Parts: sequence; C-alpha cells; structure tokens
Amino acid sequence: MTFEQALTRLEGIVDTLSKGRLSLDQAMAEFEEGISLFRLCDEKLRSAEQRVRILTESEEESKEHCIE
Amino acid sequence: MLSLRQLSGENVPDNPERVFSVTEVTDTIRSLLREERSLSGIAIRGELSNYAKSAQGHCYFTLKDEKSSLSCVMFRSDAECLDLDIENGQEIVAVGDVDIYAVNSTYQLRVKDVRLEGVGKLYQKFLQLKKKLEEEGLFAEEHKRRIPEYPQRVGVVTSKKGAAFRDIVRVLGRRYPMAEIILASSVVQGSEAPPSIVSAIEALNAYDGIDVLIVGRGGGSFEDLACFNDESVARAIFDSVVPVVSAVGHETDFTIADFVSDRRAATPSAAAELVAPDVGELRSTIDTYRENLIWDLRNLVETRRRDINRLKGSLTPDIVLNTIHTNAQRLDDGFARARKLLEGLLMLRNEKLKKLGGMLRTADPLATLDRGYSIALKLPDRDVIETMRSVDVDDELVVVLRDGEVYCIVRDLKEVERRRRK
Repeated sequence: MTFEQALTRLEGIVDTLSKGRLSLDQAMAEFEEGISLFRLCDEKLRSAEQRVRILTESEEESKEHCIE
Repeated sequence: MLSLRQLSGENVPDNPERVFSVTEVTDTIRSLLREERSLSGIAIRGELSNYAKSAQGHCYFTLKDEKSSLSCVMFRSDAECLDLDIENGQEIVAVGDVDIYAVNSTYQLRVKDVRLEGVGKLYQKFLQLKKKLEEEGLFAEEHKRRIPEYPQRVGVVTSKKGAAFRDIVRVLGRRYPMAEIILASSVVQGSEAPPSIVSAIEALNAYDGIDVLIVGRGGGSFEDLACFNDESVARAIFDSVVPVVSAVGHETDFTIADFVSDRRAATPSAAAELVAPDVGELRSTIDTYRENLIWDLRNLVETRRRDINRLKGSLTPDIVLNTIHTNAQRLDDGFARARKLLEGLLMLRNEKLKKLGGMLRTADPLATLDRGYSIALKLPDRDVIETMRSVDVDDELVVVLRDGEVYCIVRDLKEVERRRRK
C-alpha cells in the first residue's frame, strides 16, 4: 500500500467514524483499521530516507547513491 | 558646386541680389534630402534612448552609437503596427526616411518600423515562437495536467553539476524524503542544450513510475536561458506523459518552457516545494486524524453507555411485577376459557352420560341450553337420541329447551351429511 492510498483510506475512516452512525462493532473495526493505517503512514513518514538515482549518459545502466 | 538657386529648381536669371525666405531654404533642404536615395527607406542600427510617447500616440526617441545621435519620430499610425514594446537601452534597427523638422531646423528620422537586434533579435524570435505555439494551443489550460500530491518518484532534468540540482535534492530531502529523485542530467546552456534536454525528458518518460518532472536550471541572462525558449524543448514538454513543472531561475520573465509546462516555478527550489508536501505538516495531519479517531470512538462508546443506562433505569421492579401479574392474569383467563370450552365438548360427547337428567343436575347442564341448543330424548325412557337410526316414524320424542320441553311425534326421517368442524 502506498502512502497516498493509506492516507486516503485513513481520511475516509476518520470521516465515517466522525458521523457516529456506526454500530459499536463496526466502529471498533473501523477504529482498529484507522489506527493501523495511522501507524503505517507514520512509519513511512518517519523512516523515509532520501534516495537519489542518476541516469548515466548512456541511460543503459544507472547508479544509485545517497546524497547527504 | 551647385548654387542654392539651382538646387531649388528655380529657373531664374542669375541674381546675386536675390534674398530667400527661411521657408524657401528649408524647403530646398527638404527636397534635397528626399532626392538623396541613401537617406530614404534606410535601416539604421543604434541604441535607443530618450524614449517618450506623446498624448497623441506619437513616439519620440534618439538613436545613438558611440559617436553620434539621431532624433527619431514614429507617428502613431506606424507605432500602432509595432508588435513589440520598445524601451530605452535596446539595440534596435529603425527603418525610415531622414527628414527635416522645419520648426527648429533639425533633421530627424521618420521611423516606419523598428526591429530588435542582438538580444533583441532573440527576443523577437521568442515572441514569434510564443505566438506560434500559443496559436497551436500548446499553452492551453485544458492541456495542463494535475501534479500528483504525493509523488513516489520525482524526475529531474537539469545539469548534474548545477546548483539547481543541489537545491532540488536539498529541498526534497527536507520536505519529502519519501520521494525518490531520478536525475536525467542534461546540458542546460548553449547549442547542445535543446537536444540534451529533449532526450532527458524522453528518458524519464520511459523510466518506470515517475510521477512528476522538474525541468530547469538556475538563473541566467536571456541568452543563457535560450534553450528553455527552444521549440523542440517546448514540444518535448508538451508531449511528456508525466506532468512537468518548469523551474527556470528567472523571477520576472517567463520562458516558453514556463508557458507550456503544467506548472511554473520561479526557481528550482520553488519547484521542489511545489511537487511535494511537507513531511512535518503531514505528520501533524495524521496525528490529528488519530486524535479524531480516538475522540469519535470514545464519543460513540459514551453515547451507547448512556443509552444502556437509560434503559436500565426504566427496568424497575414495579414494572417487572406488573408485567408478570398482567401476564399471569391473562393466562388465568385463557385457562378458564379453555377449560369451559373443553368441558362443554366433553359433556356433549361423553357416551357414558346417557341420562341427560342426571347429567343436567350435576354439571350445570343448563348452560348448553342457555346458549340456544336443545336436546332430543326418546320416550318413554328419555334416552338421548344421538343418531337417526335409533328413531322411527311415529316415535314419541321430547325436546328439552332452556325454558321447557316440547313433545313431538316423528313424522319423517331424512339423513343429512354434516361436515364436522375440526
């Protein structure tokens, strides 16, 4: 799941739950999914390490290296 | 050497005493100038200065080089046809006729047309290309693509060594390190630049999963930025499947690349900010979402708890007992009715109760008669008649009713089939 997909789903759950029309069981299920999506997004945001790839002139091979 | 008289075309006898008017002399000079072909319909290069426009729309300026200057006038009818803005300092070529301004005996250039030279020439080419591409619809709003909000891969077309690339890496590293940066290094200055930029754009379009392209370089002079005013570069940007953000470091003027790109950023750093959100902001956003989730769930649980408490409050012992009593009474009633019904049935069906009189005396038998039934008995023994077979014509019967007995003689017998109710 990409960050964008997770964030979009999380926004949907926040919206649904805020309307307060769910049964307790449904609400619990949504809540649990929401929290795990939050963790997923949070992890992605925290753990991201910049990657830079430079295509060589030949464009056949490419090398990868990190720039501080 | 010609005399003034000859020049003025006068065919008069030589008269050294002749006195001319100022206008006559001026007219003579004017016709001289008009006859001189090297001063009519000529193009003159020079730097434009002292530019002024009169209220009537006529333009006045001075054209100069290192040594000389030439007053120029461009009348409104000609100035209106000009498709470029002229301003002081421009190197221009003015086309027109040298003429005389009789009022203060000066000569001037009556300008019919102005062309730009040097940078001006480039600028004119720029205007032409811009007009052409605009007419083709390359800048049209309907072709502008949306820049994705959360790019996973950002393609960059610029020089590997330039400050532009360093700025983009720095800004994206700070704001949105989640995005991978793919650089297709290209030449961004000189004649090699356009094909180099075009192939870099194509290479990144061929690369998998790139969400947005940044195409640009740091600031420079108009000539330095010429590659971003190149037609092939403009078309490559237009043809790019991946949305393009232009990032030519030039705050005030726009390049053709800016017009054709999906978004324009004033600098490479600004482009990097434009293509990606800020991780810090995103984290506070999702934190807010989590708070909302917890808050909403808590609200929901509280609401349910209140609902339950309200129900519990309404379940008092009185209500329970009342319910039980009501139900018990209903049961009793039902039970009594059922028993009465059952007894009635038994009473009628019991073969052992042959003697109706005895039966009537013991079990309130008149109840049946009260409901409108009657009982037929055969005389003389008062046997209960249950079937027509126990009766013959001329037998004597007694029919017992609620309020008396009817004595009868059987006149006829007829069998009737009766459907029994279940």
